[in-house]
Amino acid sequence: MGAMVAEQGGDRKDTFGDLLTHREQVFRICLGFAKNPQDAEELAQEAYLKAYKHRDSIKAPFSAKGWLLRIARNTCLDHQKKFLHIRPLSLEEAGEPADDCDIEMHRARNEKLEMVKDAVEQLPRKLKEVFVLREYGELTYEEMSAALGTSLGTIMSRLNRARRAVINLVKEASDGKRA
Amino acid sequence: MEKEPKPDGFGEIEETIRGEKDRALEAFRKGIFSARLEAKIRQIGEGSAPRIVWFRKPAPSLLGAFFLLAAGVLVVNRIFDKPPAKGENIFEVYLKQVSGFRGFADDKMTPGMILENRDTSLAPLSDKMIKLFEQARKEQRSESDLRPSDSGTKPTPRLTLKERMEILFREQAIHRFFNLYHEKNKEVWKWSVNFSLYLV
Repeated sequence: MGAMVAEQGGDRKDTFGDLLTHREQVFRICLGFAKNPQDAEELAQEAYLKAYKHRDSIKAPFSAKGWLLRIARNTCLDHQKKFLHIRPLSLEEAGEPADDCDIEMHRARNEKLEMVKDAVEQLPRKLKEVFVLREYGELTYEEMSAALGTSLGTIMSRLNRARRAVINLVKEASDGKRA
Repeated sequence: MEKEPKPDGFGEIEETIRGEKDRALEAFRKGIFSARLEAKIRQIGEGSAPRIVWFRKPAPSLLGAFFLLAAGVLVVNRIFDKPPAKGENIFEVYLKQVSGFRGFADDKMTPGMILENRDTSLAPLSDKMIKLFEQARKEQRSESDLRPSDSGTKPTPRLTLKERMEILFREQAIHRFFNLYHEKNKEVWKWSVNFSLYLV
């Protein structure tokens, strides 16, 4: 891929080839916004296509990663409406269980995951993006600050609020199921 | 990721998210993400991707087909006051119904009758053309007067339907084309009238 892009000429194309080294991080961020890995991969593809179309606007190679992650975040937010439906991982998608005990374990795990995904889905946009970039994208505070154009203090504050909100929402959902 | 204080009870959620990421990444690494992306970029390079995607979507295609159909019905309704009967020549029906030239296609109409029956909204260009047409007819008549007639009666000089249609459509096309510019640019209009008179 990098070779193909490089063949098309120019440093900017090489920079785009370099961006592909971040594909797993982009995929993880998309996973945080999407309901399942398939949708996340499609979103990651779309983000890279957008990046390719606008590759001329990469000002400096060192800022390219932040630029790509911003594109990924915007692509995901643009597609939020498409992923309002709940589609947890099926057992096949999550891996075939070996026996009945594993089936129960998978079911419990999927239920838990569904509750977490629902909780993240319900977060306000600003809290959600900070939460996803940190917990899924595993970005540092500095990277998040660069990607979102927000101060470190604001990032930390939003992240703390987002985590507390997710804990409460999961707890509520869990209590609701028990009742 | 650096160590940071996290709210109580977040550990379980963090674990769930980590599990989800690990499983999804495992499948992602087995996939063909780069190859798919490369194929899509190639399609963009060829300029074929957007068109194909557009045609794959049924809604725009159906909408386009509907508008074409509606436009067709509208055009037919505007051209024909009443639909042509079965076996009737559509072209002739159109000639009879077209604004400003009702009766022009009728074989029995003479140029004088056409002038009398013409639509008053007709452009000066049409007047000029019909006068020229009448003048040509008179010249043709005077020529035929010089020749002896077999029956002793003068044959009524008439243009064939084809000739009349050719004149009509040339004039109509020129008139409509330049009429578009009439309101916007008087100079263009003046020039167009002179030019079309030259053509006639």
